[in-house]
Amino acid sequence: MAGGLVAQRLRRGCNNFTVMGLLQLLLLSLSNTAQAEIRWDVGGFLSQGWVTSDHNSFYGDSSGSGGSFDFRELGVNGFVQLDPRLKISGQLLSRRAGEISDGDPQVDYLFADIFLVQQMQRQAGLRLGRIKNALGFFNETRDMAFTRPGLILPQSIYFDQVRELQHSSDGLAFYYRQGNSLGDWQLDLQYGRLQTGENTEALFLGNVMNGEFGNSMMALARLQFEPQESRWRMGLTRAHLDLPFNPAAGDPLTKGKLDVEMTVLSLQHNRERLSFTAEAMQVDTRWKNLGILPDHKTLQAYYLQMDYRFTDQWQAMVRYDDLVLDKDDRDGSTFNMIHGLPAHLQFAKDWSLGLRYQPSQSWDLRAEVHRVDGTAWLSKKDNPDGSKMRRRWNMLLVQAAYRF
Amino acid sequence: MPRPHLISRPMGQLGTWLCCLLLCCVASLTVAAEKPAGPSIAVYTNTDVPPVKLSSDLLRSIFGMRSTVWPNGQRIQVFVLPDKHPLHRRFSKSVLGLFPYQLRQVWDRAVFSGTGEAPVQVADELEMLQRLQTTAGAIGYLPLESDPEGVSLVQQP
Repeated sequence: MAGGLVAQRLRRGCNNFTVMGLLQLLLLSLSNTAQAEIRWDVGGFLSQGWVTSDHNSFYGDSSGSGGSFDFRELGVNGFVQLDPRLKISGQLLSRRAGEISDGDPQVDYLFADIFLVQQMQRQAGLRLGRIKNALGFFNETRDMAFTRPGLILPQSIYFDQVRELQHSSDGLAFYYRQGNSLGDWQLDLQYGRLQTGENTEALFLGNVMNGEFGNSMMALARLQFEPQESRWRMGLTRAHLDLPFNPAAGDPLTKGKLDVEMTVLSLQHNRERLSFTAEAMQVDTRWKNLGILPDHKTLQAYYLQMDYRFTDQWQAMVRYDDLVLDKDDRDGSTFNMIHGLPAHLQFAKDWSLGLRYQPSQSWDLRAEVHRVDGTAWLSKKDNPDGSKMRRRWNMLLVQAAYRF
Repeated sequence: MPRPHLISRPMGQLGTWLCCLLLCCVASLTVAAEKPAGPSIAVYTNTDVPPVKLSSDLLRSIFGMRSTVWPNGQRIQVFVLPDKHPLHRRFSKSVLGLFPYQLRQVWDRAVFSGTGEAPVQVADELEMLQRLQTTAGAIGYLPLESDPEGVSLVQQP
């Protein structure tokens, strides 16, 4: 156990090291061209949440008496611009979320941004390093409370077991933005190595394994469009993930790989008092040579949300959020028959109501009630015994966030 | 310790869809935002910025921090008043055609993903004028009636 933990830390350290090395090389090669004006800025945020639930655990032992305070986020970010064409941006993040994130500081992102085209209505550039995956509307800022549409993100699409795969990748990205008479277009292309770990194993291989994923790569494309008046925003993301798995002694699997296709459709409508947001995601997974049957599954998820701004300070939201892990087994009955585990592990329908109060630009206070039918997005780490989980459960969350 | 259910009975699939439909109806019924009244607002730059005509598309792009460089290659330095300042609200709605919360979301997305920056926020109109007069490549806004000196008025086509 301890050895595994150390190995994991080391792996993580290696990843960070690669990113640092890459950036240092880049800095060296560009330092000759550096001009007089060096610009920089530093900022950050922190948040503390409290969760209580009648059954099942979310972000710590929320169903125990007293609830759970194990939901904390602290981020420090900044940039340095050394040259009109080069900027380095980074963020350190400490996130505590029950048994899923332990609060160890991580490099959330750290990349060099090279500006290729800088015109008034057209910009293009290249990013190198650890880059947040340009997935849907919210992944790139998923841990910053102010930017989330609710206290927690819609769990159907942004749930913690896929967090590792969605979060970021070490590699390169190209972006292109153009404004024209139709509106505003933005294209993001990304290729890089993903961070995989126990959560990915638990979701896609059924359990935490002794072996591990090898070099897992992702290719992603996202197109976003805002028509002229900026009342609407729309986006389409498509990502292909390639995860080779090397089993170790004791694993009930053979050497093989996972092919994952993620598609996310995003839509938002903004009015003065009202906003309407909807996203849908489909994840097609193929297990190749791993010895897992059936060898193909399709996850489907969507949510619909409405926000209402009573005043500048007070805001309310209502959301319906729906996840099925296997579209051919929506009620989980086949899963139950094959594995003998509760059918509700295969779906989750979540109604939530939230209230938001922003007394100033730096403070954000929220409360949110969830009524959930199903347990598909609950973490197996916070709920180790699936047979003890309850299908219908309720949850109340409160959070205070501060930015600086 | 057992807790009372917050809401007792789960709704069926039908209920779900009815509620979604209701959301859509409410969304489509809300009327467009009213045009805010008050003194007219003008956009100004530092005098070192060559005269440019800026359409509202271009202004949205500049104040949304997407355009970062003037046509002559000089960096654009954007100044804004606080989100709740009446002049910022009017500028945002009537000049850019955006609600202040939309601008804030655009800036936050850029800052916290590392892909962009937020504009520099000034405390009041006096500081806005001083910054516009003294910062190279600066752009900002002031009431037209104040007829500020030492800055260039931006023409809108």
